[in-house]
Amino acid sequence: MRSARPGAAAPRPGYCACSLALIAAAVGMAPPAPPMRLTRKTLPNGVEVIVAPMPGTRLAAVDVWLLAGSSHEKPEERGAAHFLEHMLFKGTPSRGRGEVDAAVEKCGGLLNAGTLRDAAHVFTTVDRAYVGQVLEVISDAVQHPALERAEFELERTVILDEFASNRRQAGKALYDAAFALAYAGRPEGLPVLGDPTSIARLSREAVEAFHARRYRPGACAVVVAGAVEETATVDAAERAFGAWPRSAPSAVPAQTAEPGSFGPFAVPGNGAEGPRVVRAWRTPPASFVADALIAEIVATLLDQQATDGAGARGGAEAMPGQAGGLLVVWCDPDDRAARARIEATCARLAAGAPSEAEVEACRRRIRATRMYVTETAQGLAREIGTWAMYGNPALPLEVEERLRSITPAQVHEYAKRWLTQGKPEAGP
Amino acid sequence: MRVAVTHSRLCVPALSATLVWVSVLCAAPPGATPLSQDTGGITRYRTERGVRVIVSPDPAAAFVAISVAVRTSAADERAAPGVGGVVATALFGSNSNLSREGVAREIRLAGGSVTTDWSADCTTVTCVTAPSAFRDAMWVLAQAIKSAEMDAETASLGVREQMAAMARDAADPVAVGAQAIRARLCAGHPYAQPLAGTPESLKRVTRSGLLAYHRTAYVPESTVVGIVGPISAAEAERVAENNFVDYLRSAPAPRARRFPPELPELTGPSRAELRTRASAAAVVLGYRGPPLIDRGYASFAVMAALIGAGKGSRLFRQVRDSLGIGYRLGAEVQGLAETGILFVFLEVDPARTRAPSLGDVERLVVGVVEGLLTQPPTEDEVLRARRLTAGLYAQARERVAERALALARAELLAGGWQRDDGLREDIERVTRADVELAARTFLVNRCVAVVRPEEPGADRRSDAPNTPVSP
Repeated sequence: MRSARPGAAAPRPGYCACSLALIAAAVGMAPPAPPMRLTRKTLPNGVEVIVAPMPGTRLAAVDVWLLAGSSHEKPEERGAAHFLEHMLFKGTPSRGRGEVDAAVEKCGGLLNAGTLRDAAHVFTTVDRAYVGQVLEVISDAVQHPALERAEFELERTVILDEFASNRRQAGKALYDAAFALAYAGRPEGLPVLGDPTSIARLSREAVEAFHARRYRPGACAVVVAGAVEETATVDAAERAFGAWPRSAPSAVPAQTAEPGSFGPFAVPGNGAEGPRVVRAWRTPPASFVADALIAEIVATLLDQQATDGAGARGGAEAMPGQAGGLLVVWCDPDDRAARARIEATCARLAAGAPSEAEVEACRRRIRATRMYVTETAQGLAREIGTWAMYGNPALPLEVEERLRSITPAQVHEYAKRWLTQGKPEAGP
Repeated sequence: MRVAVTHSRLCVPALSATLVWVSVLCAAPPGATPLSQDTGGITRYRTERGVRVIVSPDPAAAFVAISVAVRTSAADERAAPGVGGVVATALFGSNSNLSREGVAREIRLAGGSVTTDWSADCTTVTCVTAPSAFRDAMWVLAQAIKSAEMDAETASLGVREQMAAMARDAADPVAVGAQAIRARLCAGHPYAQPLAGTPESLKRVTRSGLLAYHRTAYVPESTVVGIVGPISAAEAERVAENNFVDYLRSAPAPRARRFPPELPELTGPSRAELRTRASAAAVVLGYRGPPLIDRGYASFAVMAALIGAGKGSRLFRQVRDSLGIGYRLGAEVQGLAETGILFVFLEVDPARTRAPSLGDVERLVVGVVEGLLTQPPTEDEVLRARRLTAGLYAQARERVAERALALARAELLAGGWQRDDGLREDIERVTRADVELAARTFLVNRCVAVVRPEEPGADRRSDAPNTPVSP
């Protein structure tokens, strides 16, 4: 789950929008996209550089990923991954307060960042002419955040304001509740941002320790996508990140997810959105790529059941995770038909294989969604970076082929193991 | 197959179902005498019925985007605010050729995505699909624009979704403040109306009212089609001509159609305090500026970026970086056909420990914004703001859908599709003197909205989205 670094969240006054359809049929009719290629180089210090050239644009996205998410926090560091993300932009020994952002904004881009359970990343999109400059700025920010005490205390109050802003985002509450249940007692079960109490208690030293432990070149992927030339971009990345002394974070004991079924449980409304009823299942670790894609297919099938109906307020999503992910489906508590369809679909998939036509429809929708996401340089960089953190940066380019290889029988086997094991646990 | 519905504020009914290609509509229209202009790869064509078609061929694109923009001024809905939004959501219900289910089938077969947007100036419907489905998609869009029937089921869903959108807005103190400011800065003008309408006005929506609005506002001379993708201009023009050949309505006479009055003259600052059902509080400032078509719009936009866009802006550095106040803050310009509005906003949690008073926040924000009058910008500040504005402008046109939409809107609202590129050039030419002039000209007649969470136990009925305390 993402906790985007604050930008000027626009009020969008006087403007409404609705998207009527995202239909995968178009993908089947689309001409094959030109083969995209990745250039990858691991620098001597361990930083992985990944470059994905895109045709037809002047823009380039730079997205620097670190295996430094909230699931890597120690108990006394709750909220540190996200807090550190805020502090990266408060200055370095060579750049004063505000100068990190201003340097990127003079290149025409907004510097942004996100913290997830498994990783954090810093990203922007600029004209291709500025890629080298932006790499230098981000490299400085992630390696040398000043973490000055006065700045730290100021940012603490900003994060407390962030909690208030987030309270009207129903999705955050839904996902947090599902993760809390599915991963109770593990760091993955805790909210990415921490909570107001943990933020009030968090010390600067704890954040500093988190940075020292997790921000290492061996845990860093530098992704550049867009109007760039591979060799020159790899060289620019090496100039920016090559001097970072070699090191890697210590390995975290692997704790992989076992099947688990949760819910249905209710997530209350928050004024902006109505209540939801939720079902959730653990999913295998993201390194099992075929399973991750099958989980997407199952989520697509469940999404159809959750949203099939006039004005339905449902949905489904499969979120990968290093030690295990989560498949979540939700709908309006009053929509008994949707709830029945969701349960019936789970039972049907566990009892037998879906039809090839059903699976093919899901493949098309997944491809359509990915094509939409990767139409922009930033979207492509984000996809590559996400999967680089799970050891498979080329996956976004291989989705087509990998989806084709998934059979209805595999979907059935997955459902039998991951959707039905154990008695469902009620929610909070 | 499922039709996903994503929405930022409004949602239309989920549709599902196979397209029937009606070949008769492919027949070339007799006697067409189009006016076609080709400028730098982009062509402008006017169909026999008067629909303008802007085509930007892009052989490298995997998809084609079609954006239909219709000048649906809020002036047409003065008796029933929100009706334009309901019409937009109901465009893909039944039409004179097909049932609701039939439309759904055709959308499904054409594939791609269909997104409807509306503002106080226009409604846009944008479809992204495969090049091979271009003709089918154009047919589906044209049917909706020409002959949507506003069937009861679809319209009813539209109303419900508008209500839900209102509830979401009522929980966002910045949105509540922005609406209050627009109402004040544009008092008496259709721009003052809440775009989603009000619970009361939506209760008055009838099918005949929707049809009347649709038949009045959706006319050929108010319709522009923007097309971007691997489609030749000749093909795009031929398909557009075929599909709009029976689009025969003409705009009503000015007296029948209530044209908007002039914007009110502003004579000084104004201020409103409101309460709403949010957990956060916000201070929102608004200033009226030049309309989208004005040559000064670029300077106004760069000035806004200097004040509040990005973390290098004055607002961010002087308030959040220096004082630790506000997670969500910034400045944004809304470019409308008849005016621009600068919104500057800051949201805080009034319940947190050591929360500043909203009075202090208001003074801070006003000080930052109007400090530009006494502390002129440096060259470095203007450089940052200008490049950021230009960069974000380019990023907002990265997708084929965004480019088709931008071309159609510029043609419809800004005097020609060339204005879209022209604005980019204007932004790149803005100087420090231009920003200083914009500040002196437009940072006057400030309007402030202070929005607080409602008191515990306050009326939380759905028809009480916010309660003005003192106007």
